[in-house]
Amino acid sequence: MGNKLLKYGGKSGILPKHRPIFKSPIRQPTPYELAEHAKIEQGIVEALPVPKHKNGKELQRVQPFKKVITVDERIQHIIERAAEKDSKIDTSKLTDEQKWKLKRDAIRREFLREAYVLEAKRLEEIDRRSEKLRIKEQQKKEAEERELLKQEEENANVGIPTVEKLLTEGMMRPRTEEEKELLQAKRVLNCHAKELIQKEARANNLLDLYHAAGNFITTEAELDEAIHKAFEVDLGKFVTNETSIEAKLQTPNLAYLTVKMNESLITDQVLGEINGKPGLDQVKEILSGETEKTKREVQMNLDV
Amino acid sequence: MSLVHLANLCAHLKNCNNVRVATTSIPYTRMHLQTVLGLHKQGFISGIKRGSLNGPDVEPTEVTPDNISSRRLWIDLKYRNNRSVIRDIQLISKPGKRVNLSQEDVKALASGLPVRKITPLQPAEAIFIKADNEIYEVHEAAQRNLSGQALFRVK
Repeated sequence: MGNKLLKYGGKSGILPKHRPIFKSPIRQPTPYELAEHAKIEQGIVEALPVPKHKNGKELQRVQPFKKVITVDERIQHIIERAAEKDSKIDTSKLTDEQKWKLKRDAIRREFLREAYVLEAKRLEEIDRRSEKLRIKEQQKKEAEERELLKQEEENANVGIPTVEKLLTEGMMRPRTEEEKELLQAKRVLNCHAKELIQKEARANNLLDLYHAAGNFITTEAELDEAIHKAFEVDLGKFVTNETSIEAKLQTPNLAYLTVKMNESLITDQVLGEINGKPGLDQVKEILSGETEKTKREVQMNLDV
Repeated sequence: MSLVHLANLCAHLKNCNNVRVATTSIPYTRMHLQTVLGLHKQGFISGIKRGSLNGPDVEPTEVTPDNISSRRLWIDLKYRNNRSVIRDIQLISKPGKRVNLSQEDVKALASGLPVRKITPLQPAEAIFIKADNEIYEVHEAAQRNLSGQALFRVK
């Protein structure tokens, strides 16, 4: 394997790059090409002296663009000038061979002109296609960048950059004045609600006590009766078993008592009463005069 | 800055690495944030996210006094070849024995020299130092001519 093949990765069968027909550019560089060329960092830095060529000419710091020779200029310079020169020759004095040579040159010039025009067309087409491709790729790249930016914006709120920002901008947003006022109002409301519940409970207890006061022993006769009830010996307890069963049957059933108590509790709860006596709500309504008002309204409605 | 909380963090990271947990949450405090940011910069963890007790935030959530109690920092742990990147993480200063370093000590430590009971810095190891209420890696602290308390070392 020769060195020349190594250049192509040791693979044979790869054709070398074809020699271009136009060695210099045939059109002015586009703005995009100029911009791309400007990006290339090349040339000799200002601090260094510019080396000289063998012939004594100084090299340029930055390589300039190649001189543009358009196809028309080329045709004019190479073909038409030669054709003009040939046309001046007096063909009458020439031999057949010389005439044939002139004719051959003309044919060759014509072929060359055709080749130049064709090549120019081909290059134009390549330019057009590559420009189209470039614009397409640029648009694709821009779309990708936009997408990436959007993604980054979305991520930025939960990712590292924001996390780093926390250290400088504070980890927590303090409450605003409005929020503080709202919170204070809520706390006051809670406090009042609790106080109300406590006051209601106290008022209920007081009413309970008031109702219970009805059963208090206030006279001597009541005291005697109570003592009698409490200390009177129940003979039934000391008789034989048979009689005790009878006594038990006679006495009110415990289960029945429980049911009755539950019932009374439920009615109390539903009607808002205490042991069948008016509860706090009823007392409140009477005191405020609402019951009276309702009664009158009902009466008036019935009359109508 | 509580060394006890830092010790808890070290133990938590070790435990998570032992059982190959992918992400874990730590308390949302300045100290924790500084610590994990330091670990992230050194490449010991792969990511830090804000989140709540339920998981990392899907939508950005503002931290206010009302939700601060449920806020957490979610960190992504790193593994390579089925082994955790953090091989060991341990405190240098203990709550009962704090190790304060002068500027020279910090520079010596960054240069790979032993300082008192602190063994020299090994390759792929990082020591973190608290200075001016910030947490710095020892090399960064040496560059800034800082002195401070040696917090923990991780490798």
